[in-house]
Amino acid sequence: MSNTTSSPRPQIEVYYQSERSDVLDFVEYGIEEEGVPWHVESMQRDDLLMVAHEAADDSRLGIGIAIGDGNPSRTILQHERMPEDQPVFDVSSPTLVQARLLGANSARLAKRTPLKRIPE
Amino acid sequence: MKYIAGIDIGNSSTEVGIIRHDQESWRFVASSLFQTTGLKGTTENIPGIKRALERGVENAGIEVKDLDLLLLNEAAPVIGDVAMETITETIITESTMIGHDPSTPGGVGIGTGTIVDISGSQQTHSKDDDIIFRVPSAVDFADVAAIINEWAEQGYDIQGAILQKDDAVLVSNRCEIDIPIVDEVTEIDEVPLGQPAAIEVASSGQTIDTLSNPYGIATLFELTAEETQKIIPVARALVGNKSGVVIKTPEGDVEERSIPAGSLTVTGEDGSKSTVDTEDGAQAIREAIRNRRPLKDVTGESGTNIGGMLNRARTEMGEITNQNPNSIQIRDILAVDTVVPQAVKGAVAGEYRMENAVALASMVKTNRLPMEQIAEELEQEIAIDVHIQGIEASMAVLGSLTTPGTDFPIAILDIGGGSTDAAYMNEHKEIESIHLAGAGDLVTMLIDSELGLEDRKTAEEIKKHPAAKVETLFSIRHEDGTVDFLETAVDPELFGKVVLLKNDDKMEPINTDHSLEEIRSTRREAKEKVFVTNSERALRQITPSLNIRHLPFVVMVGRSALDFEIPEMISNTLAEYGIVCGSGNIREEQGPRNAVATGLVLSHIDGGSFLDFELPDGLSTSITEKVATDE
Repeated sequence: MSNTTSSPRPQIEVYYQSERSDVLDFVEYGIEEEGVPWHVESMQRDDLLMVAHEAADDSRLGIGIAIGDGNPSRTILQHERMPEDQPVFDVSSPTLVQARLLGANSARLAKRTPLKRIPE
Repeated sequence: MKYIAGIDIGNSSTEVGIIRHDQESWRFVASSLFQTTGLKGTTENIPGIKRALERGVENAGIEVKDLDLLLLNEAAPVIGDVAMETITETIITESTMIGHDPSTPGGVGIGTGTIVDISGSQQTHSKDDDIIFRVPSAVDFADVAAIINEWAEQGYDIQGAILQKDDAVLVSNRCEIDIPIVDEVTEIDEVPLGQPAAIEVASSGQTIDTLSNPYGIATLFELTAEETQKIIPVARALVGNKSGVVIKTPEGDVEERSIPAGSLTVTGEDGSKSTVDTEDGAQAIREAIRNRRPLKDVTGESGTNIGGMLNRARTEMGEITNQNPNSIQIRDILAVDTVVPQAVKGAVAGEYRMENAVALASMVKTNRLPMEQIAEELEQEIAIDVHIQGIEASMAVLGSLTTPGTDFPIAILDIGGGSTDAAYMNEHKEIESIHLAGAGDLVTMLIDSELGLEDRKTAEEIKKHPAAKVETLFSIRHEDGTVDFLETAVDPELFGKVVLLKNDDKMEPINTDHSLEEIRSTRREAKEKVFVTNSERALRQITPSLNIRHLPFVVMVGRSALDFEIPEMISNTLAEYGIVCGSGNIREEQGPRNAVATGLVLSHIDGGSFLDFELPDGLSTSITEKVATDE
């Protein structure tokens, strides 16, 4: 279902380090259920905070998600106007439920609807 | 040198005004306020009085012992109480409706069919049957889509799905057929299998129009006229939803009924009586009250909420004044129609409906006896002469006359928490005053119940502060549509929410699903219903001609005059009568505060330098006599 071709339309940019993971799938489900377009791309870079900010900068919605290496993989939700070291959400090893909520919240940021609480 | 302090014990705050006499003239030197301790008009007020005095003398650069005389207002305790009665109720004896409103349903349109469990076998169903799947949370969205696709491929007519989890869009995106899907139905087991149902999902930005229309439901289920009558409450409960489900059960029955809410008996001073049913609504009650003015008493039917509420007010007042509760009389009632969200009885997914209700404020008033106790105790505690000076409303009029641009005849309005007070001084300087039921507390109750908050504190905050919507991480939109951009990002917790703007620029989220517009209109309508209605009611009663148009000046004083929108609302209403109305500015510096405390002092110093006319005897007699004997 994901849209993997780069296009100039408003969409959430989801960048992941090296390989696809379950976390990425669930982030996508979260965005999809909220009905917001997104785009996934692999991004080989060490600094995940930097990747997240780049994703937000590249997004026409100003909203980016970076998913790190490892399983589970650190996931960062970022907005283009936030400082690089102050992302909107930064979850070090999200569960699949949390990953889906991070996806849902990125879409809710775009739709301007209240965010869901991400349980610890 | 001589110092005199005027002390006004109000329902919520105790205010002090201090005046000094030197070189043949009087000059106000300090004002202060402290929150009233205890119920107004009881000796529990003394700690609050002392704190307010201490603050006042500090502002004046003196000590409490430097004061020569304290003047207290003759504050008769007034107890306002509020209560509400729901007078309609929707009951569904069989599960017939899901008025659920998930934020992200799937698909669009209407489907009708028999409810079938998604894990059931195809063999038990005929291809001639239309099917609506019931999906418990255990089934993964990908599997749901696969099953729907498989059944559809086999030739079954799948018309829709009801999901427990928040997966509707995910399922819809993976289905090869386009069907309406409702999700987030937590009590999925309550959805009865094997029954005919209809499901509707509106396109984005729209609300459903078939299931919210009784004839729409009648068409789908081929109902008779009699059956259509019965599903009217179901249709109405679905109005405004983005999605809905209606299930027809064999013995399904829905009724809408009136709850017996009890009756009120209004007795006039002339002994005439009338009885009115609460379920006849607020207007009938208001008329009964108006027709029996002046009121002697109001009683409620025993064994009903109304009866209980009026008895509670009597008992409370009886305890305070050491009187028999049965001898306490209710002097006024304000009734207001309202609607409150109530859970629909027998519904399956926590549906609610806006049911009709009547909200009431009642008021009892008693004699001045307790004030003498306060004066006596205070005198003993601080060893300064204490006098009770004139009644509160008269003092408020005197104080209000120090507002630049006013003259008498003049009327003042003082809207507090429990009562709405008004006073009028005519061209002969005669003052008349009244206390009416219905003020801030009733507004708080209306906001609380209409928004379904069940939290008086939040309702009180909504009443007092303007709201805004957090639109982005860096901007908020105010009620008037203007946008403020922020330096730093808001807490993600606040994002997308409606917040209250507190005085120190703090944003506090309101945890409801209501939009900014709903919150604003609920707040404003509650204030209109109580404050504007009561202002007109009060002014009409104190105007000698009973015609508000004959009032030249109306000055608003007290805490409500500091509200961010009440003065404007009342001014706008009174402007229609050609009246100059605005918030007071006591002594050209106190705003609407300190009117009574200032009036107390002015009445004692007999004219002073603040009013350019001589006070009528009636206002200063009691104190002049006392001072004469003291000297």
